[in-house]
Amino acid sequence: MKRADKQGSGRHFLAGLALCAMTAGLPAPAMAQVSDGVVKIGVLTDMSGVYSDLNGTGSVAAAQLAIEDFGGTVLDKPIALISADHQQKADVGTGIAHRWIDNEQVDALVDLTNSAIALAVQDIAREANRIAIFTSPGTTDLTGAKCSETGFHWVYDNYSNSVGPVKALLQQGKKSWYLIVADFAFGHSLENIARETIEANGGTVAGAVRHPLNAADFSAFLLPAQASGAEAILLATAGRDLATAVKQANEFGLVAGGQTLAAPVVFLSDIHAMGLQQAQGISFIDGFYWDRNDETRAFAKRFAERHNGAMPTSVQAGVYSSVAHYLKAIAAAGTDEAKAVAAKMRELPVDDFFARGGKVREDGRMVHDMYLARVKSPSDSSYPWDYEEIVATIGGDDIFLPLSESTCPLVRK
Amino acid sequence: MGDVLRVRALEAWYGESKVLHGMGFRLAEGEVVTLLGRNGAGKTTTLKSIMGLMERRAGSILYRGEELIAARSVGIARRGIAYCPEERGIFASLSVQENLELPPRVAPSGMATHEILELFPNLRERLGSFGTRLSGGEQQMLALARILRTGARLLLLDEPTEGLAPIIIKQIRNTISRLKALGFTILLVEQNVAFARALADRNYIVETGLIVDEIAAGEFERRLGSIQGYLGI
Amino acid sequence: MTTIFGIPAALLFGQLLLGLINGAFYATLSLGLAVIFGMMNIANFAHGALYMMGAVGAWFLLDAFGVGYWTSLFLCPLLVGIVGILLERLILRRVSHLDHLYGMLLTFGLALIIQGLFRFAFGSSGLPYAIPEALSGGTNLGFMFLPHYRGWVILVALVICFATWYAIEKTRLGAYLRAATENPALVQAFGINVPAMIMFTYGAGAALAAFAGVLAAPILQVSPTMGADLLIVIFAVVVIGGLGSIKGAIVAGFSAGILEGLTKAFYPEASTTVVFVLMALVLLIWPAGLFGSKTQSASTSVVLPALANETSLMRWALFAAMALSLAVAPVFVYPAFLMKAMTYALFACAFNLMAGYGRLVSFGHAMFIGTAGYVTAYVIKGWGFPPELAILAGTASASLLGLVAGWLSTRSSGVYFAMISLALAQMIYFVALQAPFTGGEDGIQSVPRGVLFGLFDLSDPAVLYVFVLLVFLGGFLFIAALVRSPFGQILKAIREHEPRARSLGFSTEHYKLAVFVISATLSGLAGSMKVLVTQIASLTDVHWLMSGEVILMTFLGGVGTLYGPVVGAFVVVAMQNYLAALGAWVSVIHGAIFVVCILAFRRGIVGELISYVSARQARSVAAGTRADAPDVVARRLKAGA
Repeated sequence: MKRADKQGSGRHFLAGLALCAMTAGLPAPAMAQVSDGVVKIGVLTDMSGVYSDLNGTGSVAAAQLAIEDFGGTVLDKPIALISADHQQKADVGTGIAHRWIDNEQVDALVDLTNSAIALAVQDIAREANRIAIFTSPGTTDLTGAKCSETGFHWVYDNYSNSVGPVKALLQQGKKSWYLIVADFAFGHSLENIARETIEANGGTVAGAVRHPLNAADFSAFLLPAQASGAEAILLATAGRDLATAVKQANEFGLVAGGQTLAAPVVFLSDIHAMGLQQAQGISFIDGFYWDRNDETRAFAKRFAERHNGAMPTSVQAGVYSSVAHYLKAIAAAGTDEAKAVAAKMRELPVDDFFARGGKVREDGRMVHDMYLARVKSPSDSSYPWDYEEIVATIGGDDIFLPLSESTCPLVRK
Repeated sequence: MGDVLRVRALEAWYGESKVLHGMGFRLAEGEVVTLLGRNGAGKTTTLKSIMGLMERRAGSILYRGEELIAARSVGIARRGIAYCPEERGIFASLSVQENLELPPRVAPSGMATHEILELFPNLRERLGSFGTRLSGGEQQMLALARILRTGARLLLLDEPTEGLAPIIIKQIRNTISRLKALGFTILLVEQNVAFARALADRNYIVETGLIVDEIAAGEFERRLGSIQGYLGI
Repeated sequence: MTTIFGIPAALLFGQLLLGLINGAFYATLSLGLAVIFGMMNIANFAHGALYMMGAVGAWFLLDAFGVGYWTSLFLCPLLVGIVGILLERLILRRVSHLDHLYGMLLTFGLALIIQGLFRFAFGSSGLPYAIPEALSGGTNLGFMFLPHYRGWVILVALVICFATWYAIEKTRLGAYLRAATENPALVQAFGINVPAMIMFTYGAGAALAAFAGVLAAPILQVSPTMGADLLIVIFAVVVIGGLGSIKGAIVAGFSAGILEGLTKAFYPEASTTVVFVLMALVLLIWPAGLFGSKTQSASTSVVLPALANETSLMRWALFAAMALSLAVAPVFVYPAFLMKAMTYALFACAFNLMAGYGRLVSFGHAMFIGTAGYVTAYVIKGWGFPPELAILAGTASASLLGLVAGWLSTRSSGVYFAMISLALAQMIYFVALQAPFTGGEDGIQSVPRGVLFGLFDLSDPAVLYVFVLLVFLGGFLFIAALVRSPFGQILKAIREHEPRARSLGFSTEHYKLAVFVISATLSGLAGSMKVLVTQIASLTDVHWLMSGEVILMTFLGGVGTLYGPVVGAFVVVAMQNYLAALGAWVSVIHGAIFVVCILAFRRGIVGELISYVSARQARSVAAGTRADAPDVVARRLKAGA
């Protein structure tokens, strides 16, 4: 609000006072109102564990960028950002979420790595009427049985990431599959989705093996995969386990022997950790690639300046996109009350460098184009972080679980 | 000829309890001196104090004129003092030969293995056995034998005859005699009066952490009664 | 194609060969640990971190200086060995005269610091390290494709194992080491500088760990956390072989690898747990491991801090102060934090009962708090139990588990006891991971709080707070009363000198089992309460890091004191929640606190306070006329005996 100029300020002041007095008695909704006088966003993420390079401090940086690009204020109130490391511990994560809501007036919780914590926060946010934006976890329950009016799943989920590469490779003629699966809920769900997709599209599952988490040595699980002679091997595992599996698959000559590796959960940070030598040739689905066009490159450059020169992963870019969208929705709704903002978030299209033509569905799923990618070989890579070759773009409606099959109670209406 | 060892007002503690209350005695070069006394009198503690194995000591321990009260056992050993503990301390996980060759040479007069074996011929056949397979007597022989390797000239021997058969005791007595003839200075802790009488030049009586009497070899016979009284025999 | 038990023969042989190779690797890694334990009687928890330093060091040397694999094989162990020497000389030596438990905890703290710093510097995802040119490729053996590098690993491991064994068993230096292990004071008295030997031994152990790290770098993923999960497996291996036995470490390492290989062929999900099952079985038959000979000391020199003149009035005043401050605290401090801290405090008090007063330091206490939590959560959500019955069910389950675990583990003592409790906890973790009712990674969430006795609505924060407070105070009083009772006195006697207690006619086995079960039960109570407060039961509660946390809380606050664990729990929970924004530094801070605590405030916050007050009281009383405090008398008797 511009300050009134000195001349005639007295009369303006009185007029203003009178106006205030008159409108004071009117019901509030028509006026812009922000709870506690500030819009507070909390980034709850893994800053020290195995997934910290994928989100972590990068997610915080991305959120910061989004706030700054938005102007730092919304509805004339400041936007604040806090962050915390839940250390992959469910009770620490939920404890922080509770504390943020009870004591710190946090209006939106963002990122929320780790499916267990994500599901817990979904319930907490629903009860407390706050916004929850999930960019990092993969569980489809967030938009399925546990969907929420104020919950949003932004970047990817276990469905989009398994179906994509499996279908693509099936189309390329890889009919027989071997599945190496991380032995917990996330892995099992990937396995089920993969099996269904393979069998529904004319392929066969030659065998499957479940490995315990943090297995240092994958050779014993790769051995049966190799022996089966399957044309494609799906590594339904993530983070360090994935990197180990890939490294050893090369060591044991699986790749040289002609078997193709597909991995549902691969991020830019994983490729960086594995190195192109090891990771080359892996097919996967990515929600965002920094080098796709000028817009993405521009964002990436600014991000890298804030984050030790590392390029953004799809999750981190997703944080930017979702926070920006959230702020836009607040401005459009004229309030930061969660349900009203959520309605606007569903109403407004998502159109930024992250997702062109994206939209948020009733179940909270943000549907956008995803990319079938392949990791480049070292010889094809010309500059740092030149890691991915985008083979195809898959439309959002084709890659996410169709709304008709959703188990979300909100959709049944 | 100065004293090899002169101890004055020696006090020592185990934790909070005081065990030596001001021991004072001396050893001249080449002497064999015994500390006689009952169990718990503080004889072993005295040897350990000299060897630097007690946590807390006070007083004065002069070794060839050098004050050792604050020195640590490593340094004390290197100055030429060797200790043969009451429990003998034969290492179970080492063979006899390894036990024998363990102590490092601290003076040029340290004996070579073959020289030691001439003094202790029984050990020759047992070289390959492990420490624990030896009989009590053999262990004691080994304990005596190995400290000769160092070249130390002052030997502290703690109850070498404890628990041994008379015939073995005789062997040990002969061995210590030979060591004396070779010029070693020996401080011997004993409860076996006959043994002490056969070897010692002088005898000190230790009672509750203090020297209460001194008896030269010549007086031994005459004072036998009181010696036995002190030891409660 | 022939099959054996349903697995193709070729595949089985392949798995066995892989297992053998892994076993070679385990053996190499265990060697260093065995050597250190043999020499210093310290269970070196920093071993995983040293191993990691070797691997990350190899990566760093390549990345920053272009130094290749072959040079790194020599350079990394050398550098890490020097780090080991420094660690021993500057830090570990300060606690060498104390109960060996402190050394173990100190290395645990050091491991946290090292790991945290490396994580901060190098990230968590992993660092790429390729197989050296000369060893790349492989040979088709018919039944499997064997990469050359793996063949190299097994060769090198055998050479190193043999060389280490030879050095220790057959050389002069080895004789020194073996003798110093048996009787360090006597070896010193021969003029051998034992402290220097210890220093170099630790350095050698560290170098061996780093060597294994360089060996691992080309095939496993190099990352700052690579040592953490591997560490407990290596400990299990060393315990199986017998702590301090080189031969044992080698045999056990190979055996563990082969057993794992077999498990991966038939039931791969269990492959990371099977080594703990093996350890538990071995310890049942050979309580000191296969070749173990080191007996754990049956007595301790650690004196429990105690005020010289404690009166009943003082005790009640202190308790009232605590109760009162907790009652008014919610006005100033976030109540959810207070409630969570109280449940942890109860857990720590229960742990302290066993560890402080009973000298049974368990490394698996998480299994009680976690199991009770899961049971409570499940019966509420799945069977609709009211909270009072759910708490009963949870506590009872922990009690039962305590009975079984106690019976199995109290036959051992010292480090063996710690390890067997860890093994059992790992097995519980595995069950929690696999069992359908626990919800696996998700845990059991949104557990409703219900209505207590049909009268008190626990979803009302005030009511819940009062309930938690009452349960905590009740548990605390029970422990306090128990400690002062005849049972508690006997426990203390057993703690100070078990054989003596036994000679007085006490069946020490039964007492130890009893305190174990009581501790487990109260831990279970804490677990049930925690679920009501946080409304979630998850794998974190059964993970071995949780066991580590309760040890930290108890020692930080003051082991062997009544209020110490309470203080420790509040401090640690506060750190967890309020420092959460610091990210990777949390682990470093935890470790640093641990280290500082062990080095400088060994008695913990409360313990140091008591000692300080005691000393002032003693000084103010005229010397010579006061009666000796009971522990002084006891020690004097012990010294004379």
